Amino acid sequence: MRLRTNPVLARELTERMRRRATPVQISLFLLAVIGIFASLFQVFMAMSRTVRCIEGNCFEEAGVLGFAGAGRQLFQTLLFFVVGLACMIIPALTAGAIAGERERQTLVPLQLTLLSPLQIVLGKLSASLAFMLFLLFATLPVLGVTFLIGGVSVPEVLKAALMIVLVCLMIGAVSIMCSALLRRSQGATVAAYGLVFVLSVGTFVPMAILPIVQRFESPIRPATTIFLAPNPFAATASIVSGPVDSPLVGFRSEVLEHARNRPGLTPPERALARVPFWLFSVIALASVSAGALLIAAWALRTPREEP
Amino acid sequence: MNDHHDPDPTLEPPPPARPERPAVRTYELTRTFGRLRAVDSVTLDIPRGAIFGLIGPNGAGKTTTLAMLATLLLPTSGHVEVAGFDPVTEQREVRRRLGYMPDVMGVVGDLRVDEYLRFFAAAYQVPSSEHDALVEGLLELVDLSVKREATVDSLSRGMKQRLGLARALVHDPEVLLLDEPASGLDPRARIELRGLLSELRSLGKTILISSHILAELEDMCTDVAIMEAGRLLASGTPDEIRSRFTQTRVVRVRLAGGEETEYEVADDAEQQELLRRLVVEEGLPVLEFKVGRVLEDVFMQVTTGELQ
Repeated sequence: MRLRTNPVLARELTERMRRRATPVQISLFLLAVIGIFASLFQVFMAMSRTVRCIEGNCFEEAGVLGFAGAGRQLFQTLLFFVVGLACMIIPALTAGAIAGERERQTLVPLQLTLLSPLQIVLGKLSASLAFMLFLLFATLPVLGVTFLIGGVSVPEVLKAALMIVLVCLMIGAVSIMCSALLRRSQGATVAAYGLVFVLSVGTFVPMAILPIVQRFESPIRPATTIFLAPNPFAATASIVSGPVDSPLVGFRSEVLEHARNRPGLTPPERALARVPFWLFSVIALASVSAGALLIAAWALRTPREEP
Repeated sequence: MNDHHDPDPTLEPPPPARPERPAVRTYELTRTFGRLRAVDSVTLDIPRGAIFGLIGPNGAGKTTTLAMLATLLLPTSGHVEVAGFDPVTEQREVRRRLGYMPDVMGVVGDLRVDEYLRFFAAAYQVPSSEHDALVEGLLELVDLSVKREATVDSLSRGMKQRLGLARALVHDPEVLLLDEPASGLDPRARIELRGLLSELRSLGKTILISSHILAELEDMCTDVAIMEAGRLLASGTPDEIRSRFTQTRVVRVRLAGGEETEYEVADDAEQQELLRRLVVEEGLPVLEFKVGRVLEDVFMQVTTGELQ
């Protein structure tokens, strides 16, 4: 079977790359990333320096290990920012995709073609994600500098990249679902940001409630952390490693690892703790994405009960 | 834009056309929204090759009827068939054979005219090897060849209507549904559209036009139906409707001196006899001999202005 380009994807990319705002968006994104990178670079390099005194003369030096630690911290902190940027940018790119067609009265001719609702949804989603991935691709030279500094392995970068793609997919799928369900793109955008907020922050709520309901002595237990599986930050934290503190590693060691290694776990909890957290995250991200895409396709089905 | 849209050989071929069936058939077609009966037991038979005018005031149920034919809306009850296929259970087959032009073109964005048609050709699974010739032919048909590289949103309303028609024709459908195609067009654009529809009819298309501009429909339709408040009040050829609802027609005669007189005649023979008498026997300088709009008279007679 020949590989077929989704016509919606091809059309969306043509239109997006033709817009005057597109180069401005790309430039602003890159400026933001470079700004964050430059600031973090200064901070971590300063932290990696040690003061050494020889015969009364003191001077600063950054050893190889110090550089490596700074490189690792820089990479992991950048990951944290990239996930944050994905949470902020993808709903804006995606939530108007279908609701906007409805507002512009161009959705009906599209629905009457031989494209299935799922093809329309996937075309719209892949166009938005392609642009987001294009932005991420444009940041590769910046991320590449962390390789020069050292401390980051290629497998770690690949794992992080795959997890970020999954996170982007989920945020995009949830946004496109809002776009298909709601008539106005403004409402869809608000709803998409609301759901991303629930996924990023609301998933901590069970940690606050479950210990009260089940009389746990501590909120950080394997059962409560499972609710964090679809959390974009928790999912990314689950694949980073290393002894150096960064927001993601700190979160991983203080919450995810702590919940699994704490004493006094019940046998079911110990069984749960044996499954790597990233696996829960992959399953959760994929399930939420698939569910959201199916709901979006369902919302576009025709003939409908209502006009 | 798309280079990989040849039909997938692993897909099952579509079922053969059903030319023995009427282009459009509805039986007791009903659609309710809560307590409102937007379409109420409408039964229609539109033969192949017809230009069928669906006439009615705003809110008569024309657009709802078209939406059910176009696989957009489920009927509440009754049966509907387009090109021999059921829009509810065989929607893909209906879509292969149906071109639909809504009353509004919409805001398309930054696509060029040719890209817009290529996109729809790909979406209707027209093989990519045929796209160039197809786009060329369609643009020529709707007289937009010179606008090939213009963006869709830069076109005038009349041009957009013609482009909408080209889009509806991109997969060479048997049946065309046009919702208020002349709405908002200037006189020149209306005349051009009328010529275009006649040309499409000569290509064997069946065309269903919903409109409230009666004069337009009377000149080009082979069959008409009048709807009001969801109900079908009359249907048939313009002559059938006229003979059913009116005994006479009004002929307005204007003489060279500016004097105008109205005569009532029963049929074509009486109309010809009147003209012969005025010109040959009485030798009057007839400047204009104009038959009154039959559909307008019938429309005013059968509709009540009732709103639901």
